[in-house]
Amino acid sequence: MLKLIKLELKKNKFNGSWLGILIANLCIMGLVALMYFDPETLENELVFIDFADAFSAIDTFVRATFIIYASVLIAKFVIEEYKNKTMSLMFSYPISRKKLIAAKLTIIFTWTFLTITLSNLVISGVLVLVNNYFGYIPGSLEMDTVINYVLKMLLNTVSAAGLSLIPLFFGMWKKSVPGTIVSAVLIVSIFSSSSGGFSLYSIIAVPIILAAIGILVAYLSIRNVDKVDLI
Amino acid sequence: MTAILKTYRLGKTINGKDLVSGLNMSINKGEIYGFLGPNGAGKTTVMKMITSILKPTEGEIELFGKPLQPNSIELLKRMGSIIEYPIFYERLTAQENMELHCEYMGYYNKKAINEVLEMVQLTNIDSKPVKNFSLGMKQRLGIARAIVTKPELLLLDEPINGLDPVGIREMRSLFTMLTKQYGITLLISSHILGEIEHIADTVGVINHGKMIKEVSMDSVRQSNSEYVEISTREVKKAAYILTDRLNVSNIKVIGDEAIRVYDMSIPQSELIKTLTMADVPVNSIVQKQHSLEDYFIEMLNGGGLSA
Repeated sequence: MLKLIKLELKKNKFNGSWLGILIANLCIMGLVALMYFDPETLENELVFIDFADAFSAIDTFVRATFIIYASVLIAKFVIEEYKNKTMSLMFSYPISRKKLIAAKLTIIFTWTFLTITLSNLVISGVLVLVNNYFGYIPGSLEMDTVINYVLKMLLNTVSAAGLSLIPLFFGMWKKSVPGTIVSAVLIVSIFSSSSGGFSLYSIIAVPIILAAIGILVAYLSIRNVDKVDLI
Repeated sequence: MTAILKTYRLGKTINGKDLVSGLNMSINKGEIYGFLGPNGAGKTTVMKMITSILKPTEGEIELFGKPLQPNSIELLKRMGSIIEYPIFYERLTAQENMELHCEYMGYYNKKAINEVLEMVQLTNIDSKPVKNFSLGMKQRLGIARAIVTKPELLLLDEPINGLDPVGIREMRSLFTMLTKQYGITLLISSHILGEIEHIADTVGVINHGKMIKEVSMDSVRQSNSEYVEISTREVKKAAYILTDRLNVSNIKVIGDEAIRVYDMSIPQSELIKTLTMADVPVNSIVQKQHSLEDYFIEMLNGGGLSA
């Protein structure tokens, strides 16, 4: 399985998209900075009530970004192989088709998990650092807040990594790259948008169910792959 | 001789259309099997079923003496194939494509890659990505990839498409070399008869998804391969005279102006003399070879009528 993953990475010349991750991180930092330094809200009310609030905003941005990014990877690793018919080449190898697809999905799941975790840590770190000089966020950073944040973020991230596989279902339907990416955007805009500090994601059951659906979709896409025609 | 591939009443229906039905074929070990049929006859569908890219809706395929099932992936290790047109990872170079193929096939002999690239005369390609290759080059690379692991059974679907005449000749000798030196069994499909005629040991003719005939080339060559064609305006009279006076039974009237005599024991002078004496004007008399092409078209027409 590890070998299959390595071959997949080699085949797609996938180096982890470091540049993409960097640009995405810079953009999120820019957005957070816009909220942080907004002169109007600075006078009237605070954008971030406390650190927990700021962290959860960052988490939302990061998750939304990388779930969509993951759909691009699904398109690259899975959908395009079907479209370019290279899948018929893959399926002519003496390797179980389930393992082939599983290797691809493992890459996407792991990549999403890692990028969300790292980006969260980096951007939150930068925020804490910046706040040391400006101090707009009231209160000090307690150890409790950090631990709480990390735990919550890890749960959210596992769920996001699962969730990021849902677009596979829509993409496989018509083997369409736009379908994959658009469905990811829709999923993100439904579940990550918040109004007045409330988002669907903050109900604890929702991320868990979504992650389960994502993993179910992955399973379903693998389950019959040995028995169906490749057209 | 042992059969390396057998199909029993193989059939495939997609969206209610019978692409292949009731197809029995049998390929012996070490032979070149020519798979002939017009476009859309079902050749590719059959080959896809053999590589289990498509699953049969009826019947069974037996490969290397074992039934082919959805999970029999080990059998795939013993096959090499090009189906339809060669597919590559276009952004990678030829070398990288070959390396990936070997890794996935579980074949680790780095020298083999350069050997086969030379065999198909594909050198000086350096670091060009495959997307910049011409169709002929891709075809060569596809053949190289299919044979690099020295499979026991090689499936080639229209392998000479896009090759120049020199390339076609090179490939032809490569194919014969593969069977002779490595004992590889080849299944080559084509709609170009001349191509198959030269190299095949057995020919299977398919049309409308049905196997029309499976014959060994030796028997095709033996049966009625030579004949004398007499062209005359009075074919009916000529036919009568030939059967009546020379006792020739094996003749065939072609259209209004020609007669074919398959009985080669009668000298041409005798034929002319008899016909002229009976006042039948003979315009020309030629000795001809019955090519596989005629044989093939006859079979296709016959098949079309009975279907």
